[in-house]
Amino acid sequence: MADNNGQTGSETIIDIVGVNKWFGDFHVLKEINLRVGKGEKLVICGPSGSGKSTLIRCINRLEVHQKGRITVDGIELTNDVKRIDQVRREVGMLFQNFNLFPHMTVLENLTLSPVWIRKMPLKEARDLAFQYLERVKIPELADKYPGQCSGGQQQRVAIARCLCMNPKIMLFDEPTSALDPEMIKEVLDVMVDLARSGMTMLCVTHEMGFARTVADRVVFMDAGEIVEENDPETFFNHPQYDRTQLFLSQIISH
Amino acid sequence: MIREWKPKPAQPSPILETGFGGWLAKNLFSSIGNSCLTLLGIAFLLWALPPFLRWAIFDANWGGDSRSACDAAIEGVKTGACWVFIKVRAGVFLYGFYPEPERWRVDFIFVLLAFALLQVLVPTLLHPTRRQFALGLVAAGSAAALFGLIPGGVVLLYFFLPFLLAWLAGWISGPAGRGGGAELAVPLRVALVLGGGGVAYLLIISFFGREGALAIALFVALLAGLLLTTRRMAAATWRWILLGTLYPLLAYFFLLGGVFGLPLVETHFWGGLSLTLVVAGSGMITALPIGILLALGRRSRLPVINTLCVSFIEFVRGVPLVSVLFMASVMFPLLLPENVNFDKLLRALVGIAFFYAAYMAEVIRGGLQAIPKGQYEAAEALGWTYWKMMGLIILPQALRLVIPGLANNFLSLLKDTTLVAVIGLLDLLGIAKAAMADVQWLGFTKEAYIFAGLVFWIFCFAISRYSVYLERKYHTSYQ
Repeated sequence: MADNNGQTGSETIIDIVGVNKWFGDFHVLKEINLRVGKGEKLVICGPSGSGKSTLIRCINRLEVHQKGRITVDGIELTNDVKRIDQVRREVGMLFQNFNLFPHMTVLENLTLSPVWIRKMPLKEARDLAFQYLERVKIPELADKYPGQCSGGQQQRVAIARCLCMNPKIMLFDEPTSALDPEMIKEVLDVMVDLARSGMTMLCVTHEMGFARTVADRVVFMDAGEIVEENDPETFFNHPQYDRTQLFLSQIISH
Repeated sequence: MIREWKPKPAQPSPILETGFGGWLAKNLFSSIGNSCLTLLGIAFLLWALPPFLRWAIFDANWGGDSRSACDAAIEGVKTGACWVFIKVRAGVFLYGFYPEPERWRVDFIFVLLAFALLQVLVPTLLHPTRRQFALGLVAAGSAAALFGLIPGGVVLLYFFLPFLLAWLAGWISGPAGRGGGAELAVPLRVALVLGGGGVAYLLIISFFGREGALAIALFVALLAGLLLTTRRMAAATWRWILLGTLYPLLAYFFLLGGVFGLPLVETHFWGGLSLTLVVAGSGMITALPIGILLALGRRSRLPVINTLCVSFIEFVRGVPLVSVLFMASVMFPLLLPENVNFDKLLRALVGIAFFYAAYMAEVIRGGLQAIPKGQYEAAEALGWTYWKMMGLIILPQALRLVIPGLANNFLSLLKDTTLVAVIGLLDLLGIAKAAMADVQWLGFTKEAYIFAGLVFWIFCFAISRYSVYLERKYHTSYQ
């Protein structure tokens, strides 16, 4: 494993030390060590079943790790519900299937959490919602239901929904895998824009173009381990392990 | 060179069938087999319908007010049904043995129910505030005209309390609109709730006397508690809350009496359609929330709660309703100390509520299982806690999915109220049977059964249409 954890001089915001996790007898995460600096953009890639989704889902406790330590913005994740709540306030998450609430309009999807979780007055929440809808370039969809929007639009609504909670960190769990090619670009554009604004981002994705242009570091995982991590330039052009080389040749060859 | 590509304009679809002839050909005579079935159906209707109509309507006896009217007619040509029987017995069918001078109270409670349901169940019809105002005034006006000024005043209070409460909630939360009552210190809130209840208690005692004071004090404390723990709620939400709290309280006061100068009418005088509606109505509004809690409990990962809910549901589903009612009326009193005595009707209500709660729990659990895991994950990732997530995100979706199943449960609950006859409560059907046994009116069983059946059908059909309305309303909003 490459030993350049916390390579940037900036302040650490996520610290993962010696994390292990099992699903039954299956060892999904093996001794993971990863440090993410504030404002850093990390792309995590790897074959399916390599544990990359599980890893980022451990960061907001959607999955519970069994060994090791995860600290997010100075708060260590334990079974303490209060801490989990604190961490989830700081961390937004995007899903492959968008997971918008289908029984509410786009605007309601955006305002519900600020109003009920952050106790924000409705009017303020609406203003905020429109501000982020503008930013993801779909203010005209405010009164539509998620089922009336295309996949790309839904994912952009999901991004806006996260942003309304004003997170410090965003996790992306294959945000473009369920989208048609023409829609992938509109979502990636928003993500690039977000990256430029200085958000700390961890993206599980197979969009290697995005990784090349945006990522500060690329992490390659296989069989529950981090095989190697490096800056995109070195990662794509001079991979250190044969496994990485094989993976890259397979996804880039066509 | 690049050429510009233009999509073809959409064409209207070719119309295949038009007019009545087209409809007939498509729906009734599309093949030889279907044509035969259509003709058979028509033949059956021609064979069965005219005799029935002749008996029920054309040759029936409508006039007169005693048995002799029907007997005289049967001698002659009018050999049809004797609806005089129903007409003469209408009072008993509707009110049971509720004393005649007090029957206006039953009327009043059901008129109020009709208006209250209209108010909450058809929100699209009554959305703007001024229409709600108008409805409140119409309801209060008609109550005042029909039953006197005090009932009119009660209706006025019922319809304008939501506005008052919403305004009060807004006033507490102040111009910034933050937290409101929920931001106050806990001891202060407890003191306000207790104080509100206490003041109400003392006021009622000093003006009207002991009876009913405790219930009203509890109600006031509940409202104060809601005002001080929840964040600002719209008048529409308050309307639902009042329907579930104030309305049952009023119905209890008015039907049972013994408070505020209303003479006491004990529950063994109750009967007929009004008893059916009391049993069905209170069964519906209590069984659904208990059912929701049981469904959540059965899906809970906490072993104690899970085991309790599973064993309750499996036990109740394993026994017939009749035996639950028997247990409630015969066994339950044996387990209590001698001087403690619950009302028989109350025991039946509790029995029915828990029985149907178990069935509804399973229907709702089916809906909960249909909600994708991603919905929970998205909510959790946004920082939602269990009860808020369930109340605002998961249950609204799950309940919409199970509207047909719940409507089924509501319908069978309504019809199963007839089983309270086994513990000696005379609902509509029980009263009809009792009326048949009257020596003066022997031989009119058909009329009594058809009347009872028709009344049940009207209520069931209304519930079923309402469920269709709800399904349509929520379905369109999804797509």
